[in-house]
Amino acid sequence: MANFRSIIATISITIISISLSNALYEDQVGKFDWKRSFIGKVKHARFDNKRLIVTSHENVVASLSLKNDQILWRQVMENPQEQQPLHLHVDKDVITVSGNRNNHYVRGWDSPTGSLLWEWVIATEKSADSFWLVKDDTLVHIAPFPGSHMEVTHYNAKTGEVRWKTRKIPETWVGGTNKCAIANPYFVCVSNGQLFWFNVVNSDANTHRSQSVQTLIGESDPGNLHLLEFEGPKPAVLLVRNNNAKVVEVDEETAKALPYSLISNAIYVENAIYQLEANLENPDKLIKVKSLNLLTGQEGLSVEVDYPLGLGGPYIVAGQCRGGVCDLLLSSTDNALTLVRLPEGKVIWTREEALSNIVSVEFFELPVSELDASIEKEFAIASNDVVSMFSHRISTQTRQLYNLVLSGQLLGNSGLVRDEFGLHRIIVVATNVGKLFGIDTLTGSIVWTYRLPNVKPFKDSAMMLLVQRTARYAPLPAQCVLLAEDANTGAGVSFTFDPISGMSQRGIERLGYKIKQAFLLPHEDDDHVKPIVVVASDNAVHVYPDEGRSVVQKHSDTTFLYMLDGTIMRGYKIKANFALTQVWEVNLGPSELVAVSTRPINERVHSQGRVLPDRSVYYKYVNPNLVALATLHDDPIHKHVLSVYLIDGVTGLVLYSASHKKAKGPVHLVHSENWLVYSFFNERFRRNEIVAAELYEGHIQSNSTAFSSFGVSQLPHIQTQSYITPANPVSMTVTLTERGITNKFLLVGMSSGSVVEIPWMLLQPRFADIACGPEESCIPYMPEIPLPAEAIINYNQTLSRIRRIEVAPAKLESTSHVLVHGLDLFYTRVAPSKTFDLLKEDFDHKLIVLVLSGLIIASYVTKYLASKKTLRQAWK
Amino acid sequence: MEYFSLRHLFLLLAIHNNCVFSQASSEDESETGRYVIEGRIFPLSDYQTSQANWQANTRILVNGGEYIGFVKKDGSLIVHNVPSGSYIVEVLNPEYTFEPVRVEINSKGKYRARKVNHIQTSLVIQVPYPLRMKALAKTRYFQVREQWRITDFIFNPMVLMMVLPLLLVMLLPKLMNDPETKKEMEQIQSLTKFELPEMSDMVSNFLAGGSSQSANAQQNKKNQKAKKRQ
Repeated sequence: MANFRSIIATISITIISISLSNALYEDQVGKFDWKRSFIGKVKHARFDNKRLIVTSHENVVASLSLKNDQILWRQVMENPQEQQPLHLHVDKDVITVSGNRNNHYVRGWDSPTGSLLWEWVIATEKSADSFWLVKDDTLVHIAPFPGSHMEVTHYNAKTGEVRWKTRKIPETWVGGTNKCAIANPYFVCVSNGQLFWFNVVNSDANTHRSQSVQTLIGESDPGNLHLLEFEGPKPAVLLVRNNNAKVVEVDEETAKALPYSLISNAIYVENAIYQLEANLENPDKLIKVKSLNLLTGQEGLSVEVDYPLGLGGPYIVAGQCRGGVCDLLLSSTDNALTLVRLPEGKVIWTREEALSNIVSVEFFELPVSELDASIEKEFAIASNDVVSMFSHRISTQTRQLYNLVLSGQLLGNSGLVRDEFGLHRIIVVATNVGKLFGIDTLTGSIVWTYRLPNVKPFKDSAMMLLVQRTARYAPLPAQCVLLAEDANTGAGVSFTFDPISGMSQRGIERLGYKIKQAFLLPHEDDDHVKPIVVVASDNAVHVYPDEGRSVVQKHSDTTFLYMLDGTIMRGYKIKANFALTQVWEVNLGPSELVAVSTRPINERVHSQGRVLPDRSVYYKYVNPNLVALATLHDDPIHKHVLSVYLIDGVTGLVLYSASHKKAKGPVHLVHSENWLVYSFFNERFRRNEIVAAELYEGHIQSNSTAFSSFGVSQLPHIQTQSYITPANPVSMTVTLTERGITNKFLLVGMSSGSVVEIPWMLLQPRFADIACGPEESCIPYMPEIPLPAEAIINYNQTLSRIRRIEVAPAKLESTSHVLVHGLDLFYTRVAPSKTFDLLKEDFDHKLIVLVLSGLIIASYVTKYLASKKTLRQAWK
Repeated sequence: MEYFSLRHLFLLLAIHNNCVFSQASSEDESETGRYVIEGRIFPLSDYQTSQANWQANTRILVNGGEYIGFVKKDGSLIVHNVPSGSYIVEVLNPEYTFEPVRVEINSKGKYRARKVNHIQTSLVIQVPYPLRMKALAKTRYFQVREQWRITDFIFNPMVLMMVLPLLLVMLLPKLMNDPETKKEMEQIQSLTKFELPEMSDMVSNFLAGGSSQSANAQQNKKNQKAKKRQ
């Protein structure tokens, strides 16, 4: 029996590998895919001769090159939501301390290669915002407990061996994060108008020193004070009072303030202090770097920086001077990282780290070339004059011919012009910090950027990019709207722009109300713009643009929407007077909503049914209004129970529900065509499982032309099947093609950093009563889904912290665009049924020409020979 | 049944070792009950030569990233802060494939490592702990392109199309030296004989063409069509 099963398994695997193998060839690497790596917003940075060592808010430690924006190495540490880098020390080796408030990892990294040298952990019982200090090879951990005491522990930085047991030092002046700072070897705090400092490294000193702030800054009212770290030649801190900072040098006996004031963002590099100032004189170079002498405060050089215009306000993170040339690392409010070289003030490189946190993605078709547009224009100009139309036609066609002959090559590559197969696109990306990017799919280069200040995503996770008009309607430009939240007030923000050029005519519009729900109407107005309907928190309906109101009115009897409030789902209808009336409500009970999925709007279903072996058709239940939801709730017996629902978004009818006991997140839902796929973790068997459910109408199709949610005569038949995945899915999506003829692939991002394509055929539930074999193009059921390395679409380009996978159809039916984002950005194209509509890459044009001409020549030669022969025979 | 007895044995062992163990590992087993997963990676022999810096590119994921570890220069791996439970330890390297291992740490801090089997989850095949992770093979991400071979070229339909008629034309008449068949052949040839116009005639006719030789021109057109069909 076992033998038989193994035979079946091997046969089926070979079938799969033959029929479905879709791997790349090695020479296709980088031909149509690209990858960009990011590190996130920089937290600490140190120069280490020819390289830069940084840690970031994404809990990453990395080394950057000074020559270009390349990452030399990058190590991704624990989840940044739970743990953050806390300290970076670069000496011979790189030492990082990362963790949360009571669990810390101390790691040593080899600075040229980035491999781990040592790792040990510090676990403390009480949690505190710790301070760290490295002196020689001793790591000092200072845990302050504001108002009562601090605990100081010395460790051997390499081994974690305790050099000096935890000392409890009762000092009432100890404060929190911005009231205290490290001035190696002192721990300095400001409290009640007094500056206190304590030598935490040296064993002799056991008492603190103090001095009143008044004597340091010479003002009677100390005001709101806080401290910042300052790395000078002597132990020092920056004492900041109302945006005005002073360097305070500290020694065993006294503290002394240097006689000049700075802004709070100043750093010390080789005998000079550098700070940034706004440059009001030159509108092209808005930023100026000023240097001051450390001792006297005398102004040294002042350099205008060629700072790129699109970036946010900068601040200095680190600096280094070598032989008269100084490098300053600037970070900006939009997370960009810039390396500036002094004394020229030249920008060496800029890294757009905002792309490490993408919240919304949309693919855009490019407009037609000017030449094609001019042909279109012929129809736009409604002139009836035959002569002018004829001359126009002739002139455009001669221009076309001219272009074809003289600059045929150039035309294809000249800028952002639509290509024949729709493979060249612009990806518009909205990031967490509110910066928009237009990215070219062919090269991965950034075409345009637009920074929206004070904008944040809804619930910190999503912005809405809605496509009102595509570039199809030349000469009208494409139009796209971004909906987000104001970072300060939480009110809605809308930004209308042209996705191809990144230009906006109206700029940011603050809406003045909170957005509860928004959607794009599927109907166009006279300018081919699809209106946006926004529902405010008080259920008022707003329509953008205003001209769209008539469209909404016209279609008000067929416009329904749903809103989710926790696990209560409510359906509404828009009335002609722009009021919402609740139509239905579904309460999913006291649980947590973990996933929602709807069918992609632009998805088309090509085949309406499945042909069974008896040659009858089993019709698919294709309901475009279905919403798939997943909830998790705690259960005393089964730990957690996962429930999955399919609800009709118009009528609120629950078409299907299933529950899984002892299930755990993360749950990923994918709903497409007539099926649903979801993944979860089975706690009983400690494995990840994937379930596929497919909906059928039966042997009779109720309505073959248009689907109506109200026309339900009977519930759909549902087939389900579940599988085991040997890896941990972190994101799931399904491929999308222009007409839906091509097979579907499920794209699954794994925790291992690979994106795997799984053919839907492998998951499709098998009919229990129908034999499954190759003649039915059916693969026998296997409990474990094989994930061969050939199915990894990003091959050896491991992607860190995959967040989402976005797909869009190309003009070519066989192909879809794929963008994977997370800490890295990866774009590729997939062809689930292979590129059946394209000639093979290795198609030999020369051979076919050779054969054809050979045949023609041969036929003439033989004809000649034959006639010669007949002539000779006739003479005989 | 075997599994249960094994389990009992383990419990016994755990109890037996407990007194020794608690003293020895009092440092690991701090009050928070956090443990350390240790092991070593054994790369393939060509591994170190092809990837000079393989340690930096290798990561350890426990339960798909719940806990992570890095590889030191000597190939040893360590994952800190792991509470007792059952974990899948994976070694990730872009170029090489490693087999994952399930590591179970009981509440007393006893370790057991076994092969991962998702289908028969209760089947225990023990592997040594501290872990010894060996690279299975180089990961094959790519399909192999078919190599160019002379046989492929010869059996190419287009080449066959060119070569076979040539062979027939050249060889068949020589093979048939028999006079009777020759006669028959001649008869057949005379039946199928038809004159293709000369290329030069065609061109001159075409150029001279026009209304005067409309019939001729039509014939020419027909011929051209015939040629196209070729």
